Amino acid sequence: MTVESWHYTVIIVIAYSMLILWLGTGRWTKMGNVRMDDYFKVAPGFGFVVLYLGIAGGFHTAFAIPGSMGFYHAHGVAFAANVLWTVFTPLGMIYFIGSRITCLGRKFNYITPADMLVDYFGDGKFRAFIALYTLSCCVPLMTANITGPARLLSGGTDGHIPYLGALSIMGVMVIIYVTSSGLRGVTWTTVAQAIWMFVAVWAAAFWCLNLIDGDLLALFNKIQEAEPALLTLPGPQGLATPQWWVTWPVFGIALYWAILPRGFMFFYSARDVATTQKIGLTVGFYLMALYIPAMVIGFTAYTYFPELSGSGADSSFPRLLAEYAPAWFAGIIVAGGLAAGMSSLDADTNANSAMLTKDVYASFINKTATDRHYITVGRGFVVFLVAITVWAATKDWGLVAIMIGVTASMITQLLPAVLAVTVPMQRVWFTKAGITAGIVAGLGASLLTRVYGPELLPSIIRFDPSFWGLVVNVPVALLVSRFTAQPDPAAVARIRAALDDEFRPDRSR
Amino acid sequence: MTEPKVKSHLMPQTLWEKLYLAWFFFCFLAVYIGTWAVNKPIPVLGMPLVFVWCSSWGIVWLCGCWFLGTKIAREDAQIKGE
Repeated sequence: MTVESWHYTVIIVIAYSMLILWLGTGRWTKMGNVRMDDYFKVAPGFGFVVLYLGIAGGFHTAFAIPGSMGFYHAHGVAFAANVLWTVFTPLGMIYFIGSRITCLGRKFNYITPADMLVDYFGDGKFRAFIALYTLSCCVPLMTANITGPARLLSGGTDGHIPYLGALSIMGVMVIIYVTSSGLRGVTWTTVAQAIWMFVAVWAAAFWCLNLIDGDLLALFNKIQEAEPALLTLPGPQGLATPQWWVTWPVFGIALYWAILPRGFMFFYSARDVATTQKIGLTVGFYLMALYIPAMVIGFTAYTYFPELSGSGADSSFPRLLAEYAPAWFAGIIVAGGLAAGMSSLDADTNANSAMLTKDVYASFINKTATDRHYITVGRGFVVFLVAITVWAATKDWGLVAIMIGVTASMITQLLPAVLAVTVPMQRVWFTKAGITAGIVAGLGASLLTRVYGPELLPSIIRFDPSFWGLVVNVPVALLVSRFTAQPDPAAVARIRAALDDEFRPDRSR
Repeated sequence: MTEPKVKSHLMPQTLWEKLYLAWFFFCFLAVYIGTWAVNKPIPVLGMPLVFVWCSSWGIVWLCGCWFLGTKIAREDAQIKGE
């Protein structure tokens, strides 16, 4: 039997898979006690290094490889908008809000995002509303994170691993280590994935420079000759208008990225507040550094395949690899793509399973079972969620892409609730009814502007739909809150005292 | 006896916290507004000017906030007697 080039790709992907399964199921992932708070999150808490890489890998999705290269191919330096969120999210959201979520999570042993919100606003159907609302946002994200890498794997093996086979391989791997070890397995595998994808993307950039047989200036000149609009805003397709530039990085990504359920699970699993704050101050270096080489790769792919457009731009880098890279090198990059997608897919699966188990099953269906039973149910939800994700990934990709945009708008509408709990002010502004009304109104506004905005809104106010959602959400929430029952003063005082102790220590001492 | 004043967490309290917030918004504006002033197809070290501008300010933004955040942490630790 002769060894074909795609065999090398398969061998490297198998090596990657073995490493991930070993890391995700090893003895270091085993919990001391069978408890929900030590399965869906990590009760003793992770220290800086592990959680840093866990968050870093978890925040970069399949968009990192190969999506970011496709973005450069299609919109050029408009991609620089991503620099804004890779810095804004850590320094603004993780440092300021994430550390407060850590504080409350450790103090009151929250497991899900809804735990924190209902502790402040009051329990009941509100818990199920938050859980199901959030869950419905996350399935499209999970689908996106399995679709891109599966295409990369299928393309990287010349179709010898079919697309459905690639989806199944990723799905089965995630099921094995998430059901085995919960968030411990997720985080340890993400540590390896974060390192692998970082090395892969930088190696790919140097390979691309070598491929064009020149340096950065040679690449710049080639792009200037072929499509100079790629070098300036708003890009060849006119995407990066001032309105888009000023709202998309913040409202379309930065504000919601940190309050995704997976973010909550990581923040709850920090050893202490200082750990989350340190991660907030430094993880931006990793997030940004992963996107810097994407320019070289995206532009190189453009010089080889300028004819690709639309969703075809996303396949420019996989095609470059398939046609020009040595097989072993393509294998490393393909595994890097799997790492980028799986590092978010597993974290989302664990978080969504936690919400279904704690906020729906344990709160409404079976309230008196043991933690061992709940963990077993949670494992069942992991299988169910991955199955749905794989199934959805076989459907129309255009619909998934639209849903990802809707996801951003939906999660962003939770921001007033999260801020109300984590950032005490001199009075209580929001009530449970107000928050609920605000979320519904904000979601409606963001959907309307997403669907009809391009036709109805004048170009000068054609801002990101998530921004318009908040513009409607906040006043509605404030108005309804004025006429509805306030949260329990004892709960508000308890949560405020915990935050005062940590973030407003007595300076007169 | 008067009730202790309720503390708002929205506004920075110490000098370092105020500097963190000011630096955060200064760099934010440098990238948001400043980019449009350098929106030209000029190579800098072989890379597009817009890309260099945004990435450089991103690094400056991160370094500044890292420095100030470290100062805030030290100050908090002193107050808490850690």
